Amino acid sequence: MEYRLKRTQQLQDFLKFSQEHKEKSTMKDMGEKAGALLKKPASELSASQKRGRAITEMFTKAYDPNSCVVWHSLFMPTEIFQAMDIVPFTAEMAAAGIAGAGISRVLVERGESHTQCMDSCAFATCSTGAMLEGLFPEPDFIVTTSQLCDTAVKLARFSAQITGRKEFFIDVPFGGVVMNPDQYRNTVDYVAEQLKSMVTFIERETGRKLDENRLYEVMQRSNDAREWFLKAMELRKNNYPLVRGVQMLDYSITLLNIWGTDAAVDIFKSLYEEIQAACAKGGIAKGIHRIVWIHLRPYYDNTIINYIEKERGAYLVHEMSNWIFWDAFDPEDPYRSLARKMLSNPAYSPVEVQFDLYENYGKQWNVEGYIGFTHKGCRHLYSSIHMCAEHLKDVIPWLVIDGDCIDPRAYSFPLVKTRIDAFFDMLDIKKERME
Amino acid sequence: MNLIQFKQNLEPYKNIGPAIGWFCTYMPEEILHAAGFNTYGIRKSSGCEDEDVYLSRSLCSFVHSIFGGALEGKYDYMDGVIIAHCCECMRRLYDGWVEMNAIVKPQFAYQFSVPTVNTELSVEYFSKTLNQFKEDIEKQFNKHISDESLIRSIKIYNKTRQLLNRLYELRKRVKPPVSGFQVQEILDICMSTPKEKFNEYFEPYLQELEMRESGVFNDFRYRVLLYGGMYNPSIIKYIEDEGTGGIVVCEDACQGYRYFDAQIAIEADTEPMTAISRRYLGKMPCARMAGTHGERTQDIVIRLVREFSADAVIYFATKRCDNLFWEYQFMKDVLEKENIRIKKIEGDISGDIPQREIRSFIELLDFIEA
Repeated sequence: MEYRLKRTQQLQDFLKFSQEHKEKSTMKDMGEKAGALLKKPASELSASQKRGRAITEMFTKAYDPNSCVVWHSLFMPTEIFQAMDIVPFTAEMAAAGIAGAGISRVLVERGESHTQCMDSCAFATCSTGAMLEGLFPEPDFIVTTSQLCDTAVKLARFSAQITGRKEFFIDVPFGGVVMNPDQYRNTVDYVAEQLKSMVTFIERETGRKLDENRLYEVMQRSNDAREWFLKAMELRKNNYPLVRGVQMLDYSITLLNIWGTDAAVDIFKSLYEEIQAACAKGGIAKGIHRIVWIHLRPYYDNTIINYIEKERGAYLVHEMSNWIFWDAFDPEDPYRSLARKMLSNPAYSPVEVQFDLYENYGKQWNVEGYIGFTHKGCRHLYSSIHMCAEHLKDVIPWLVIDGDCIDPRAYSFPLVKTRIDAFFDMLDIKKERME
Repeated sequence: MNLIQFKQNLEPYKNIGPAIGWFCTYMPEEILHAAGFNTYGIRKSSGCEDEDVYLSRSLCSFVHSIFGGALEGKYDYMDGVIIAHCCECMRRLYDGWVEMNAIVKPQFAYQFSVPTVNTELSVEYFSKTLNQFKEDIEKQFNKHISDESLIRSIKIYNKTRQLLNRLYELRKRVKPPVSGFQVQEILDICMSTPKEKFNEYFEPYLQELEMRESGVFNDFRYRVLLYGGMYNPSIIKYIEDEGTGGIVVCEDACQGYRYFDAQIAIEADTEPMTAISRRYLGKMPCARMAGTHGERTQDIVIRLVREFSADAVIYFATKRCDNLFWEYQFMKDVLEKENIRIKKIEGDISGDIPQREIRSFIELLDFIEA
């Protein structure tokens, strides 16, 4: 396991690289902030700070030579890893942190020099750049699923190649949400069998043994965290703004890799309590328009959501990345439970599922408009957002902002602002007429 | 018989119904054939790439061309289309078809998921998916697909695959009796005529080709293997017709070997659907495949380069196909270690091709040779 010793140097290289290449950043004092968060007692932290601390701790742990680390693709549930004390590291999502730190431009360019592709997903391209620069912590093994996109599969293969570690691949059939009951049952069994084989693979690769009782506890904790988060979201349903949208977008719970930990339960319980307190005070601001944000936000330095919330008086009442699309787990049946979660992702379904979701959602949550932020290199999401906007244009107003979550090179606030203003001017007029 | 006569013989059978269209070589045609349909592969530009504004600009030109063709009524003679979920772009093709159902033809579109790995588990799972597909087709068209009809169809398609394999064997000769472009024409006919008719008319033509001792070109210097998914046929035409000195001897592509490389093994103790599943997941992998089977891609290209005595590989990366773009680096690394020349060409499935790049690559081969 000599490769693990490289991690200490890799962390230093990462910090050095950040200092040398940092551009304008949303997290100018990231290092200091993280240090301060780690020093403070948990009781003094807000839910968002607790989230930041948990992520930082997980990130730091991934660089610890004593840790057993898995690189996994997005949407791979992390409960089994947590139950085996394996630190999950999501290479694609690390790109979001990189963009926040203001070093994504140079790493996307580095990645492109390898992929020779200018219009692929910048999450993957940026991660490729980081791997080529040796900035990510050496993994012990790699786990990939076929969800949600083609690039993730190739990125994982590249990860295995560059690190020399073994990769375990899980094939997740497309369209679980629209399958008939028989087909769905077969598919759940198919994915569950692969998850079991993954455990055998991990046991062989790491010498660790999965304790079924421990997995039961982790699954239970995931359920508890899920419940707290659902309660918090329920409060947002028909109320004044109770929490900043930009803050909620950072949760992006569908991508979070701390599910199954005590920290996750504590974070979501705190979030619920904060939102409940804000509710008692009548909200944190007087918002004018109720907006749902589709997809993620740009992670590099930008003012889009601040402008929407602070200057245009709109507020986000929900975010697609905070959609709890899965049912509570049955801890007695962990593999099938996890398989069901993987199969119930609406983003990995025919787009008609998203049409229904947004239409019903809009009514239930009293939504006035959707804002879809597309990600240039994303084949499936870019097109689905445009299709949703077209399909639902007579039902609810849509604004589609074509952009990139990671690559700041084409970002221009004046261009985006013009479109945002036109959208909100239209909503203002609509509201005036209705009143 | 020559190619022109062969084409003329099959002209009356082109695009006749009842017909179902397909787009990806992971779609088992045998099941549809057993239901009484002719199965036609939509494999090239419909000429309508620019007609489609519904799917957004993030998708590849193949998908845009197909959808533009559907909006323009190019597939009116078909009863339906089957879209295997093989990549992100195809995923949205189905969505567009359903969304614009009032104006596209044919209206019936069906999508099923194809595993990305080839394991015992995935073969078993895919056979269940195909059984579901069979039931849904029976219901939709009020047909019955018996095991006997399925086995009969498998035999017909196996025969087609066997003939096409024999055709490719000819291209291994020092002086191949067919050009790459002629092979493309034959494959086009194969994918747009009933297989029974294709087999009937192609076999005597193939026998004549097999008897020929002379090569189709007297003076070519370089043998090229083309790798890709859906590629622009102008590449082959350019290499062979514009005096570059090249001949295309093999295509590891969706419009090539990948369509017919393996037979369906019908054994007494195997369910026909399991045999179909095994063949389709185990065939020559496309860049979408993952796991150990996906990683065989490079070994297969090396084997083909040796078997067809290719001097170089032209890798056609269809724009906005992430599978092909990301696969390229793996391919390049492995081929260069084997001292096999490789050149990536980017483009769409129709329109202009970067002729200078191709020509200079072939000139580079000359230079290295010198």
